[in-house]
Formats: sequence, structure tokens, C-alpha cells
Amino acid sequence: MTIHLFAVARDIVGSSVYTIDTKQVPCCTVGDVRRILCKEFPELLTLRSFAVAVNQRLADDTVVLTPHDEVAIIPPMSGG
Amino acid sequence: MIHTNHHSDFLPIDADRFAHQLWMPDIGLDGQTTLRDTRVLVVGCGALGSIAAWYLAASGIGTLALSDGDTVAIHNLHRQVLYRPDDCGVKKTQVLRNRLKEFAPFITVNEYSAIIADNADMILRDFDYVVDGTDNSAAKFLLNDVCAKYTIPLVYGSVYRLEGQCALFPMHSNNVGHPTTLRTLFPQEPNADAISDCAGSGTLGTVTSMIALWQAHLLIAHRLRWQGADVPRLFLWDMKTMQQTSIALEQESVYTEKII
Repeated sequence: MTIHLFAVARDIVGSSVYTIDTKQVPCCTVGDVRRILCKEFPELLTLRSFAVAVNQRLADDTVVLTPHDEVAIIPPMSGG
Repeated sequence: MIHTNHHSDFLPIDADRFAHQLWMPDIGLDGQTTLRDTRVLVVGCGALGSIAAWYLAASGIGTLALSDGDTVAIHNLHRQVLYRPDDCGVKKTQVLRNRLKEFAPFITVNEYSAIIADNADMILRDFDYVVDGTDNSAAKFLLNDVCAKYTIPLVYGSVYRLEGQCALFPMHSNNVGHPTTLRTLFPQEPNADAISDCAGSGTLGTVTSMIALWQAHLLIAHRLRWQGADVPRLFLWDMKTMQQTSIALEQESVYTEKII
């Protein structure tokens, strides 16, 4: 499953895309994606919250994912 | 000059100046009168707020209030293009107010010092819209929470290096009984150290100005009730790769999807 990352989340992960091998790591919901990313990249926890969009729609942690879903991690920004 | 009966304390609409807006069916005299009768508070008069304020004034918004405690600095000028080198050291609200009054003498422009928790309720309640031109998370969440409390539409905007995001939160309750706000996206205010402002992370004037223009445009579209403008969406730009993404924010859409 391919995860797209924006802004400071991309800086933390070091890439604009991150792939979760669903054969190796069970990943069924948006909440699973959050847990996997935060475990792999603990610095994400310093953001305190970030949004997840699935197929261009804001998604809460209970949303069930399919392999073809487009998942995006949207962190807060503060510049102006 | 066209005289309308909506608000006697506003100047008549200059038909020559706004001819190209008056001709459009999507604006016309009714729309132009609506814009003239609209009161907007712009919080933060930096790279987002100053540009948004300028285009709102240009469109014919009748009342603008400017809030910022900062003075112009030389390192602002690469993106805050309405300020000049000889403005350095002068309050941004003062410079911007004077320049707006020269540009659009028919509008009312007021100045406020910085919006803080102690004065936010009292000041924000007087306006139809609040434009977020701030550069820190604490201010953004303060504006969000007060706008949600009083159902004042908030035009959020923010940048990070070559990326930007903006949204208009109408603040009315949706089908699940609560408004979509900045906290719908980010329930907890982020650590100030975790995400940098423009001073910390850097940015480019074309990026900030484009977000500011979208903020002004979202406000106009919402005020004139253009189709879809009342449905909150988050607009994201990556101006390094020239990609734009639009995210639907209403929770009930997600809820409906889950039920199906």
C-alpha cells in the first residue's frame, strides 16, 4: 500500500511516498497506517496530530482500506 | 455611481471601477452590494494577510480590519510585496491601512493590535469573516476556536517551504451536529517546535501569495454563495512539483461511506 506524504511529514519520513508491505504487516484501517508510521518514524508523534485522507476525503481511524486506496498524510503547517 | 439601499452608511458603488465585475452574472450589482456590505477581519498582515487584504479591497469588500503587532522588517519584503524598504520599523497595520486607503478610498479600514486570548472574543464577534494570516499554531487554533464558538466563517491558510494549504470553514453545524473546523483536521494543537513558521523553515513569495489569493477567493465565493463554496475542502499545493490536491472534509461523507 502506497502512502503519500506532505510537508513536514515528508521531511520526517525522508520521501514523498512510503510503501507498507501488507503481506508482511497487517494493515486494514487508517488507524493501522497511523500506528505503523508512528512506530517506524517516532518523530511524527511530535506533531501531536496529523490528518489522513483516503481517496481525497478526510478519513478517521476506523475507515477500512483496500490496496488500491490512495492514502495521504497531511501534517499541520504554521507559516504565514 | 450606483446608489443602493442596503446600508446607508456605505458609499455608493463606483460603476466604472467595478464594471468588469458588474457585467458578470456571478456578481452583478447584487453581488457587488453584498461585497460592499461585508466586514472582514484580517489577522496577521504578513505574507498571507497583506495580500489577501489587498485583493479583498480590490474586489469591493466594504470593511476591512487589520490586526498585527509587528513592524515591517527588511527580510519580509521578498514575500510581503506591498511593503517597501522605507517602511521598515513602521507598524504593518499602519502601512497597509494607509496603502489600502490610497488604493480604495471608498472602503473602511480599521487597525487592531495583535489578537490574543483576552481580546479575541470581543473583537472577532463584530465581523462576517476572519482571514487567518497568522504564522504560528497557537494563533491559528485561537482563531479557529473563537470562530467556531460564534459561527464566524474562518478562512484558514498556512505554508511550509514550497507547500501551502488553505480552507474556508463555514462553521455551521453539519449533519453530525458539529462544525467542520481546523480541529477536525488536527484535533490537537501541534508542538511549536515540531513545525516551523516561515522564519524557521523558509518560503517563497509566489507560494505565500498564491495561498493568500486563494484565501481571498474562497471568501468571495462563499459570500456570493457560489456553488460548492459552502462545503469545506482543504486545498493543498506542492509548488515544487506543481501538484494541487483537494480534500473533502465533511465527516458525514466519511460516515456515509462507512455505512455503505
